[in-house]
Amino acid sequence: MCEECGCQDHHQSLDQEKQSSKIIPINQSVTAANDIIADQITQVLKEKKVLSINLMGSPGSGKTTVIEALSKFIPSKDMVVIQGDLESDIDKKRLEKSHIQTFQINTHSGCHLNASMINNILLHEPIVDKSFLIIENVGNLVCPAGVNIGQHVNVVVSSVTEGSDKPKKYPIVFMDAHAIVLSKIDFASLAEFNEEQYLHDLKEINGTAPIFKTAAKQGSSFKAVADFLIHKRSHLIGERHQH
Amino acid sequence: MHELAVTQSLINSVLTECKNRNITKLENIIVELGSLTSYVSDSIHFYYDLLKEPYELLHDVHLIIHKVQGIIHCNACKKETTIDDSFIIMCKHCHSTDVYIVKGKEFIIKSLEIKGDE
Repeated sequence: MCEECGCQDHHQSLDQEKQSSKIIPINQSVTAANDIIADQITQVLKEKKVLSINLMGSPGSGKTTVIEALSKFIPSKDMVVIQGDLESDIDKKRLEKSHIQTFQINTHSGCHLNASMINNILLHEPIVDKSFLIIENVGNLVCPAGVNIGQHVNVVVSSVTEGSDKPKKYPIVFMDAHAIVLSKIDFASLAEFNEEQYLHDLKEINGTAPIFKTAAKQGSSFKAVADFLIHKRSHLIGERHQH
Repeated sequence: MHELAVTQSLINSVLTECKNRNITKLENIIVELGSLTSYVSDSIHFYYDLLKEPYELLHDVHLIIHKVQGIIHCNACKKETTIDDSFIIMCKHCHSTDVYIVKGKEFIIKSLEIKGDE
């Protein structure tokens, strides 16, 4: 089968016909329509001094728990969350118990969020007096990777119970991460998590992203994640850091 | 699965270009797809064949995908490394991870081939 076009037999004849064809250069990104909206979102949020975070990870990796835990270090009133799930508003209700303003997107069969979905929320629900927009993407280690949704920062939540082979198996989502939350670290022994292998594989894919080990029952373990986001926001809006 | 939406975007862009340029006899769509994207060319072909059905202009049009190998530039030694299927984003010359991606993240409609007599 032809490797380039997936056809059975036509490609050879294509070469023969090429001489009678005319080539018109286009050079346009296929994702341009999405990326233009995404760029506008990042710009508008920057002007509003809001850091936008694309929180990605497998279903059950602990993304919502990370947001809940962050609210212990970043005041809830400074945060707004957009929740992406195929169905239900379970996580929205859960976060509202922590007094975090949350908007729900149900993608139904859609496997990731896109910039247009985020834009629709922001058009109808203007963000006022917030510092952090956390967009919890649909639980998935494949599809959200590389899709711009108007984020300044990509954070990947990866739990030890998923196994230590995840960076090797799903490199693209890890490649683009600005930070990685290695969650459920208190289960590492039970899950026979090979941390050395995980860190080695991760370093080969992304040697610059900090890795934060967290456990839901150890709230203080999320402080470093909050500090990272606060630092990123300061950098975004041009504030000087105090070390 | 996520190739569905992006293939529809591809088709929409091609139809817009054809309309703007008065192209009525399209032959091939030439696309460049970086190896560091999360898109799979087989899936794009699959969805393309499904999604082109309503558009008469595209009925006999082939989608040709050229794979673009990932290339990183090393900030430490200033050399370039080609990324193979092992997906190691590390300088092969000095093993630094202080690198940036030069090629491999693109998904571009490179050109349209139209029948010569148009």
